[in-house]
Amino acid sequence: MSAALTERAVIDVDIGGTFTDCFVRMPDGRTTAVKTPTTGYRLSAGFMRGLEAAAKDFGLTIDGLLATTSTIRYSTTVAMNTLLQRSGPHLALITTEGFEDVLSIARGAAWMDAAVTREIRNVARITKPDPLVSREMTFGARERIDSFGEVVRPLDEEHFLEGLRGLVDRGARGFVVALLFSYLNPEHERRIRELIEGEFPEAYLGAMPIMLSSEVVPKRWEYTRTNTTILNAYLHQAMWEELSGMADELRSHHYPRGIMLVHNSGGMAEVYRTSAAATFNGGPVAGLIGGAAAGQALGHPNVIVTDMGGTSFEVGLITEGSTRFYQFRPIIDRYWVDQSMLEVKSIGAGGGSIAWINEAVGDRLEVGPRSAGSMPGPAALGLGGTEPTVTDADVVLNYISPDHYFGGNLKLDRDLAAQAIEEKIAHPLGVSVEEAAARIKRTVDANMADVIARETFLRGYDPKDFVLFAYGGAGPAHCTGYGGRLDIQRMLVFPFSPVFCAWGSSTMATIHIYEASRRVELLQPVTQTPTTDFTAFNEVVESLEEQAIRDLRGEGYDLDRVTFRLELDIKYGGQIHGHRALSPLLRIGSTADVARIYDAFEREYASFFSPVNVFPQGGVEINNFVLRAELPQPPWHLATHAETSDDAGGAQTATRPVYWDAAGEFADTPIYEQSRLRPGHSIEGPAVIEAQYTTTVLDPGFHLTVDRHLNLIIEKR
Amino acid sequence: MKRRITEYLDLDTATLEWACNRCGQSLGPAAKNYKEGCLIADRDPREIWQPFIEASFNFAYNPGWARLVEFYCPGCGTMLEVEMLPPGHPITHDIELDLESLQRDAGEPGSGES
Amino acid sequence: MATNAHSSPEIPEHFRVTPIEISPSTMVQWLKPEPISPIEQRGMDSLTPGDYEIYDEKLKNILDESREIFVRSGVTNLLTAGDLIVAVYTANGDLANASAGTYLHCVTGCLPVKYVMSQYFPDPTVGVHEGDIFYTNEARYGGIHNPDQMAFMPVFHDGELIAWTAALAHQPETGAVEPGGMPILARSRNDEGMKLTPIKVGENYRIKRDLLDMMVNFIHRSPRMQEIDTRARVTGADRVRVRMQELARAQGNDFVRGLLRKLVVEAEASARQRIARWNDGIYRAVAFSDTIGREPALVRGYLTASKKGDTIRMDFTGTSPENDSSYNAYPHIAAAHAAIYIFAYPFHDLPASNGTLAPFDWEVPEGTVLNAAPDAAISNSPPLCCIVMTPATIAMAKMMFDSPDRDKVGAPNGNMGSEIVFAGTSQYGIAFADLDGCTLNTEGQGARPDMDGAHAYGFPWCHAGRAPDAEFYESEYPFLRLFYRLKEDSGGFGMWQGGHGTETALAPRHVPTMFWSAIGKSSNISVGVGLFGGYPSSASPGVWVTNTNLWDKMTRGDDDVPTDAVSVARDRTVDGEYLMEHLTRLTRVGQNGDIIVQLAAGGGGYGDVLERAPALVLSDLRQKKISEWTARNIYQVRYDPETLVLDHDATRAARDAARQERIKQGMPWDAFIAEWSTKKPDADALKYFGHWPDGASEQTLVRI
Repeated sequence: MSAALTERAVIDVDIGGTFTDCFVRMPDGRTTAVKTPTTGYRLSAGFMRGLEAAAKDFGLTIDGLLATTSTIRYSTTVAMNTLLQRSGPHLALITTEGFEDVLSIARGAAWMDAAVTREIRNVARITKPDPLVSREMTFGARERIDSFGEVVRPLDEEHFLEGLRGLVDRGARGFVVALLFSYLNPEHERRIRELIEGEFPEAYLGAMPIMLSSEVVPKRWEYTRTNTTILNAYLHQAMWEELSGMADELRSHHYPRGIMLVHNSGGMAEVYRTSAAATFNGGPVAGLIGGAAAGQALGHPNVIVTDMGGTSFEVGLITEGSTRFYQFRPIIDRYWVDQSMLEVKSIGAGGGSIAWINEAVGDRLEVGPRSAGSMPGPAALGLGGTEPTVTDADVVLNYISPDHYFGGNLKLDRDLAAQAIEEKIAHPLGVSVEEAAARIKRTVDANMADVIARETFLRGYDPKDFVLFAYGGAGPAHCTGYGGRLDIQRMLVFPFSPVFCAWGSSTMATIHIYEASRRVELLQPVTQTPTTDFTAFNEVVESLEEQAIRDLRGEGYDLDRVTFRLELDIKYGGQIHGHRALSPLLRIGSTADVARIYDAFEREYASFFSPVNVFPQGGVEINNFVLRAELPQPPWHLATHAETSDDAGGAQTATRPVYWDAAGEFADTPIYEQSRLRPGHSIEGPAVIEAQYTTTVLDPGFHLTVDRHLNLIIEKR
Repeated sequence: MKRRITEYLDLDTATLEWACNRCGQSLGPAAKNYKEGCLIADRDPREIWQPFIEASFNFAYNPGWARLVEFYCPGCGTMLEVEMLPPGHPITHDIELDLESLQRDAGEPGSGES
Repeated sequence: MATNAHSSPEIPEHFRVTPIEISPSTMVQWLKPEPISPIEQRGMDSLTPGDYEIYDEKLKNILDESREIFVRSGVTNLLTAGDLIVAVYTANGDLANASAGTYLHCVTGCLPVKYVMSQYFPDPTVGVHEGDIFYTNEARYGGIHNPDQMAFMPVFHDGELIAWTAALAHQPETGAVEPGGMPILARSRNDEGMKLTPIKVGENYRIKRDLLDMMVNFIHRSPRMQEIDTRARVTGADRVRVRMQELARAQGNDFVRGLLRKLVVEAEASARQRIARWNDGIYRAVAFSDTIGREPALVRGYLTASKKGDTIRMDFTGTSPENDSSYNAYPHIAAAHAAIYIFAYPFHDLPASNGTLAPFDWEVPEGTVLNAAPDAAISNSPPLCCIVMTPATIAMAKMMFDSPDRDKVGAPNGNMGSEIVFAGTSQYGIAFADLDGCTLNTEGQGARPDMDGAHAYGFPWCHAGRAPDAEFYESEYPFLRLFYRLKEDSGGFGMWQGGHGTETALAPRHVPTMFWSAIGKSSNISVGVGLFGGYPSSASPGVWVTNTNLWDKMTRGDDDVPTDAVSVARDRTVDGEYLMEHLTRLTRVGQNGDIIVQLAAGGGGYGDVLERAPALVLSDLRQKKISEWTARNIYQVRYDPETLVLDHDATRAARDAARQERIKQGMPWDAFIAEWSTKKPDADALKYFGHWPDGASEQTLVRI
């Protein structure tokens, strides 16, 4: 697949839990953003509907739009969850004998993985995630390899074949092989594959995947390696079906090209070069990368990106232009995996988050983490929801106009919202509905501010020093609320904020990642003598590069445009925590080179942990190699428009009473239509700016200017 | 009124009697230990877990240190409770309810409430 | 022993600590919240509606952030394992909130703060000033044992003391008579290494070099760990300090005082509200440990929990006497171990505050193993206090069952505490000393009224601990792990089965020798038990095979290399000398190729085995969780052995027959007691029990 052609249209789609977002950029620079409800039963249905609406915005049919389209980029927050409904092939797991319970043991307290604090404390009700493959479908092969890759016990082939027959009798239609230390020595895993292939005629094998952990994820530590391999095996089929179904449908509309998928490592790749685990949480990561791109374009190296949607609130950090924060404990659904996923923190605070009274703890008002989702959704939607949500509060406070929601396509009923709040919150607390609604907003804004603060502090920064980008359907309505609490001086709402993650994928580069676990000593303990065995290091990087080149050449990429970036997981001897550092070199040929790599690590380590913990005397070892092969980002730009005056009066469409916390009451407030705002316009808070898919709330004490890109710049007075 | 005190133990707040939840068998007055109304067996731990080897430390507990004292409902044979005790160790009177306050809460006649 | 005379009127009320006679026996009294002072009341009144919940949430985030910083700044494994706490207290030492990996320290953190406020705050030679840094690891003044080191700092704003912060974590080296911080052979406090009463180790926000050097000198086996982790603790406490000052700057001192006090007050009110809806009565439970470390011994923990209205009296009368091992404790340590359960089950949704524990009164008679003399060795108080954890679980389950809180009922967890400890020189030539987290963090959970317990759920002392993978250990240390699995039949049998524990075996490799020892119990009698007819976990003996031909067998590809503990001990397919022992094994030299087997207990079962759904029994059989022997003999399930298809009728008949057999074999009370009371445990069991059967102290204890 060749690089993006700038003379063609590009389509970016992000399928979220509630909405499917589409961002389209035409060759002449026109863009459009469309939100349609996600169709859980068949994701492509919502996608096609979105495309239809987008095409209509340009006066085209779907076929017409697709005829001019060069690239479709796709990210999903929901596909993984949908696919985890166990409808994949019946898999068997082959482990080393004696370790068949690896998925049940799950490092012990796996009930904590992906749980919120409230659940973690309730030990009486914990459940661990069901093993991805049952014990019954697990077979322990008689073999053993040690931590040096040496064969301690040869593979007992006869015993294996007996076990294989048992697995097939019990319905195995696919095999995952994950033996101890196979990432150092894959010979037994490979031999097992040969044995399986030898047992079954070719005709069967097409439908029987055999996945070796040493090939899928040659990383250390068996629990995560096994989980990741199984997830990929399991979802591969289902994901392939869904995406090829989508490809077929696109082809039927005369779109002949492939689909690029967003990866949670921060890049994208063709469908067939994508493991299922790499797509998890792709949407929010696309938002993060987009935030970095927009930040760079606008001259903001330090950005906090915030995405407030229907169910959750996501926070990502860009520091000095970099997004190199990986999740410390990457979890997909409830399964801890080994996947280099960029960190986007999520809490249950969205438009659909439910407000409730916690009677166990002195009748406190709490918001979330439970959500009303899209069904029944906020009470105001009139779909039967009786629990008050954040959106209901926003409606009662008159931030959201019931007739204007979703461009008027979704009518809201303010009375239903008020009723839900009255019954569940106002009456028990003995306050008015408006006061209750105000408290709901205050509480959820404070919760979001807390998580932003914590994540920023943990990286050694202060939110005050950042610019904040607000997106997602509800972000612009709450950003002065949560941003204001953090003394953030400048916040931006983009014209495409409602579909920011989709827009973000349009800025992503093609990236392929290759990882391997190998223990390579850099400095000897005690003496701190640098290693002179340069081959050990170079061999690993070389083999990863070879894989990358083979893949990229096969896909028709121009290898001259590829840059390699090497990251290394390094730690001090005797310590638990290593750190992932950027390597200044791809090869080492001298002790000076070794010292350069060490120095780069030490700097990052000291800054992330503490200078006090630096301890080269313990010895320094590399444990994991992570090679990124990157192609340049596709060119993109923020559209510019001519400046006008600062008088936004022409964009005002109404006045209505809106509640403002500072005043503690409703006050007549100007309402503006975002599509009528022009560069140079300036608005003093209080004000409300309405757009088709979102509302921007401008608290008193803030003022807003529109820049040349039609971004809304919100600043504290 | 019947209260469900444990998985297997009911208490009638009117008669202040224990009863088996499964079959209704009376287990005696609630002022006493319900275990006094049960049939009781002293079981060697090797009846529950196989020792697998002959050695003083094996995969069952040491019967000179640990016995399983099982309490059965005389009506249906359900095991209401089991204690792991050293041989001869006093039986635990594990539940001794404040019957007066239970009766009061239930509004039972004779509880002092009108 | 010092007494505190500081109820003097010069000390403002919000700095005052309730006067007590200060001794290890009495420290537990300081667990009770202090009365609300007028200035705090003013602060509480000033909170506007919504402030309380918003700022409580903010506090939680501050504490989580600080905990993360603390963990990142330190080096000991136990930081990742979660054996730590970061906390914020009122000015007079009541715990407002904590980010806690283990709830133990929710109890013990208050006490040193109150000690300092009581003893040193008004003392001109010490005082408490802005920028001070205090430090302690002396369990007599409020810790669990001396591996637990705590840094704590006063928070000042505008010249006023408004709060305290603390960061505490377990450190596995104390400079004691054995390495590892928990010397099994210690006979008195003199054998246990560094014990710092609360001392001021820093001023003006800087640790004093001389005091740090002193600590490092004590911990000469791991000086670097002491240096780095001391700083890490201070970093953690200090981060909270910084954030609290920011909060005071933004909202005022009154606000902070009011918020912290309100958290304590609300916690107490919520706890009392819940306790009040349980049935008044007396609930008794007993548990038995079978080791004092250096030798197997029967030690009893006896709990009489009296619940009346909204208070619970926890009376440990009947507990065995103290002894001259390191398996002793003090009342606040007993309370802390009850708290591990209390904060995770009955009050999981209430703040980690001492307000939540206010409804509890603690009665622990002096001279018992839970209220030993001040010169006792107590470094192994945690393994000992399983005799608190199990009875607390049982007694409170029985309180809650007949109430809206039935969803908080569960049978006791394994509560065993299982680890191999190893030391030597690694395959890379580096000296090492560590413990095997694989069994430590994978005990079984007790079953619930409506579901089985979770398998390998965690570490009962610290629910947050995680077990590293086998590949992690083998990459660092010179051994091969033969197996690491759930132990078949280990979950306590019952209508609902306890979660399984694990079993593992290590074989030293790449080096000629490796030192090792092992901690564990429940070989002779189980400390964990079931609930309402559920059985305890299966037994955990220690197995060691030495002078083996293990590597030859593996190299040859023999088909009979053992894959679990039972096959090691029973089948003996590996040549060598076999030793079956109590699971606690004192330090010895392991040879290359030895097989060192270790087990972790399963959780207790719930309900009568004859009521377990046959489909679940068969599913367990299919998933290799239970043996056919257990399916047939315990659960009385009948099925086709080939297809594992249930035979409904035969099963019903077998279960009916089993019930009839019970009725036949069971004896009525009087007859049973007549026979039962003639029995007595083996003589070797009773050496440290106390007088049989009442547990009264029989000997005068002399510690040198």
